Amino acid sequence: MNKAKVELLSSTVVTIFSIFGLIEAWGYSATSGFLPRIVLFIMLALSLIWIAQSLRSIFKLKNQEKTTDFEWRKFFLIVSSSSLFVLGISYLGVITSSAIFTPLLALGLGYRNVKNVIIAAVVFCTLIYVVFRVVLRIPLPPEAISVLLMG
Amino acid sequence: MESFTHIYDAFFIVFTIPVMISMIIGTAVGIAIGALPGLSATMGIAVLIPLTFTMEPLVALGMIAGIYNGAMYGGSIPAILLRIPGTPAGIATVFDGYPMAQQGKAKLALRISLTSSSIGSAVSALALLLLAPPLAKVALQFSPANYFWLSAFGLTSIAVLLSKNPIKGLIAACLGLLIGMVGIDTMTGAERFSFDSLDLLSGINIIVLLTGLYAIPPAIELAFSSMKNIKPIAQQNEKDDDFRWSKLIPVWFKSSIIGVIAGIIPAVGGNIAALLAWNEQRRSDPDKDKYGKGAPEGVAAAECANNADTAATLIPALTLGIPGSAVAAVILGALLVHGLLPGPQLFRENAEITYGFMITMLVTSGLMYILGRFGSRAFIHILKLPASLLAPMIISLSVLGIYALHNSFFEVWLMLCFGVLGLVMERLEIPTAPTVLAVILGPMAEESLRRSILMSDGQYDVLFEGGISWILIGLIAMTSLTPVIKKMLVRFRGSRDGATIK
Repeated sequence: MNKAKVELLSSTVVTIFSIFGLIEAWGYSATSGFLPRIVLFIMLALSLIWIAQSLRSIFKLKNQEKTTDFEWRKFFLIVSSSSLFVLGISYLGVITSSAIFTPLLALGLGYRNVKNVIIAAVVFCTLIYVVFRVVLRIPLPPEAISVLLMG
Repeated sequence: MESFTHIYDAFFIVFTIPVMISMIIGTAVGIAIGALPGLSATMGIAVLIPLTFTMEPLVALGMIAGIYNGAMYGGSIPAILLRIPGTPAGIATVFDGYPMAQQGKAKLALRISLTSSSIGSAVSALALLLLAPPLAKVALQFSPANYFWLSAFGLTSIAVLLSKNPIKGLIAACLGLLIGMVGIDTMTGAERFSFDSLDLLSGINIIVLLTGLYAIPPAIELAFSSMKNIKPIAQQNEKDDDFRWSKLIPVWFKSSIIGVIAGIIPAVGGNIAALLAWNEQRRSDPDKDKYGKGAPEGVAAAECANNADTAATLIPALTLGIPGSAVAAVILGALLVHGLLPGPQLFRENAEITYGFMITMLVTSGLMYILGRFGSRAFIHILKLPASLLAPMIISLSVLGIYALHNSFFEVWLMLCFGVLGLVMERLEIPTAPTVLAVILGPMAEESLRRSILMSDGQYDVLFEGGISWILIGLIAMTSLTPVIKKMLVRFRGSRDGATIK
C-alpha cells in the first residue's frame, strides 16, 4: 500500500474514534464534559483536514512511494511472545518467565549464537533477581518452580 | 541569596553514598544506552522510572541525571566509530568525527567529544542552577488564567513545531488531552472515559504511558533492524600529545551558549543545537574547507552544544511545568512519580530535592568525564551487542518495571498497547511528545481554566485580562502561524529565484 493510502486509512480511523468519543462525552455533565467535547470537536476537525490532505495526495499523485517494509513476522513474534511472557509471570514467576522469554525471542529474531544467548539470559535473570528482590525488595509473584520443589 | 542557601544545603545531600552510587550507575548506563544506535536517553529514562519508584527521590533523580547526560555523550561513540549517530543529537558529530577516525585519529576524536560533552553539560547545569530560581519567582506571579494560556502555549509549540505536518502534531496533542481526562474528574467527581472499568477509575498512570510510548517502539525497531556484523573503526596507538587543546576554548564558549539557548526554546532539541553550533563554527572559521573532512573543532562544537542543551531543557520544565522536549516530559513524569509537582512551588516546597537534582546534573557531567576517560574501551565493546538480544531484554525490563509499580497486570497490558500505538505513530510520522506533554499539561490547563472562570463568577473575560495573558496569546498565535509563514517564505523565495533565472 502506498503512503497516501495508509494516511487516508489512518485519518479515517481517527475520525471514527473522534465521533465515538464525542458520542460518549455528550452524556457527561456540563462542567465535566465541557473540555472533552471541545477537544473531541477539534480532533474531529483535524482528522477531517487530514483526510482532505490524504485525498489531495492521492489525486495529485503525491506520496505515491510505498511505505517502508514492515516486518510483520517479527512484529507478531514480538507481540505474541510478549503476551505469553506477561501471562507467564502470573503462572510461572518473573525469573522463570524471563529465563524462557529472553532467549527464545532472541533466537526467534534470528540470533543464532546459542552460547551467547544462554550467557545473556543467565546474566539478565541474575540482574533482575538482584535489582527487584535484593535491592528494591519489590514483592513479585512466586516462582512456580520453587513452590513445586519446596512445597 | 536564598537560592545560594538552598544550593549550599543541597550539596550535603548530593554527596551521600547512595546518591553518588546512583549517579555513577546512571552515568555508566547512560553512556552505554547512548552508544547503542536506536536507543536514546528518553528510552533509558522511560525504562528506568518504574524501577526507581521505591527509591529515595534524590537517589532516583541522580540516576536519571546520569542517564540523561551520559546518553548525550554516548551517542558520539558510534557517530565517530561507525558513522551512525547513537542518538539523534549525535548527527552533527558524524560530519567531522567519522573522517577523523578514518584518518587514524579515532582516539583523539573520542577524547575531544568527551571533553566537549562534559564542558557543555557543566555549563548547562550551571545555567539551570542560575536561571531556574529567578524564573520560578516570576512564575509565582502567574494567575490561573496565565497558567491556562501557558499550558496552551507549551502544547501548541510542541505540537506545531515538532511535526512535519502540524495537523498530526495537534491530533497527537488532542489524544494526550483525552488520555489525561480518563478517570474521575477531580473537581466534580464524575467519571470520564472510564467505561465502567475499575482499573481506569484512577486514571492512566503517566509512567505506563511513558514506558509504552518510549521504551517499546525502540525495542521493536531494534528487533527489526538489520545491524549485523558492524565493525567499529579500530583505535590505533596514536599519540595526541601535540594537540593544542587551547584552540578549542572559543569553540566551547560559543557552542555552550548556542546549546543553552536552544535548550530553553521549546521543541528545538539537542540535534538542532549541535547542527547550529557546527554550522556557526564553520561559518566563523576562515578555513571553512576543513569542516566535514575531520576538523577537531567540528566535533567539539557539535558535542559541546548537544550536551549544553541537556539541563537547559529543564529550565522551563522545572520552573513553569512546561517541558520543551520529549526527554524533559519524561523527566517531569519521573518527578511526578516521586510526588514532586513541577512548577514554581517546586522551588519552595521541595527546595532541597529540586536544587539537589540540579546539582546532580552538574556532578554527573564530571562523572561522565571520569567514566568516559577510563572506561572508553568497555563502552566501545557495547557497540558489538546484537540487537536481537537487546530487544527482548528491554521489553522484559519494561514489563517487569510496570508490573512492579502496583502489581497490576492491567497496567502491563495497557503499557504494551501504548507501545504498539507508539510504533504506529512513529511509522505515520505522528510525534509522540505532544501526547505525553498533553497528559501532563492537560489537567493543569483544565484546572486553571475552571478555577479562573469560577473565580470570576462564570465570566470568560478573565481569560483575556492582564499583559501576561496577551503575551502568551500572541506567542500561541505566532507559533500556530509558523508553518504558514514558512510555506509563504518558501513560495516567495521560489518565485524570486524563478524571476532571477528568467
